[in-house]
Amino acid sequence: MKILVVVPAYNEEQALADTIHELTSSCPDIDYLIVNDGSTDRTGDICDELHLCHVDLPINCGLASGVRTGMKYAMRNGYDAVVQFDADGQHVPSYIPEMARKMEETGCDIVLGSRYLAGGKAMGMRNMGSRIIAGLIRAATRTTVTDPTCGLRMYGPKMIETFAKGFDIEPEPDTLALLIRNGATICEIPITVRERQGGESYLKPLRAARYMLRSVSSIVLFLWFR
Amino acid sequence: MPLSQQLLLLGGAIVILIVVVHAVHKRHILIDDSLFWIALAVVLVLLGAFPQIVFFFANLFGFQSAANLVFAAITALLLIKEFRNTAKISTLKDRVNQLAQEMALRLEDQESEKD
Repeated sequence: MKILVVVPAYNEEQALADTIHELTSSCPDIDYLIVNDGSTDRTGDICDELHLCHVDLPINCGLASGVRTGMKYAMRNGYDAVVQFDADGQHVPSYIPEMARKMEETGCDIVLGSRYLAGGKAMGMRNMGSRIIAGLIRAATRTTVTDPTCGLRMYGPKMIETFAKGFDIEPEPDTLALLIRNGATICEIPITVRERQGGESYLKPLRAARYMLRSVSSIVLFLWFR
Repeated sequence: MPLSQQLLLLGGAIVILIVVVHAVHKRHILIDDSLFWIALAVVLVLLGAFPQIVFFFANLFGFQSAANLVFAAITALLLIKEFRNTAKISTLKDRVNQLAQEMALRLEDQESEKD
């Protein structure tokens, strides 16, 4: 199985080098692609200096566009699976072979990491948001996703094509609901994540509110009509 | 507010919802951009269902009729939205220009590497 790890990076100069070093030493057979999403810090320079495999988007396009760039790259180069992997060092690379095994065993389209299955829990508001979204996905698709907001995911060939060619397909929980509804199969493996090792999160309070509004209205209103 | 006006507000809200959902379905609009219109429809439903809200504010600001306040509020809202759209278009223009410039320069880089 030919796996590509896509690492979207926006201003991740602090943690990127360590993250990639850990990734390549932990999974030497797996390819990776850093998508430098128009960073204004030294992210691009670090990629050049250390000769990391990367593409530079000329302007900042957001997480969805970064992931999509990776999906297009995977399609052009014939990869069987894409893992979405955070640049900030939150994700532990040793789970990737485990996800690949799970995908091969079950033949499912998406393997999700779940902090919940491993007994972990996001705290406070974040956990509440996550539970609401999980409830909505269950109601809409009759499928239980224990940790819909977890960022560590592996997508199979069909999903790679959907992401590369689709309209408004973001790597977010509401898309998960849409994909399941359109026949994608999912399974989960328990994972733990670390504290972020540097940089700033994509999810600030105002954006978090928007994120919830989008997820909820998208699942409730649009799912049946998309 | 007479019942006919209440029903008009509700009807308007439903029409907005149908138009927005249809546009999302037809891929004419991103879900992110549809959120404003969804929120507007929800507000219209609220005002149609609970006209007391309109009466309260009409009294507070000294409007002669509740309908006038609705007109004024929606006009103001659309002006704000229009301004934000203009701002958004300006940013998009700049981004397209940047993309063209970056692309031209990168192609130039590639060609000079070949030589």
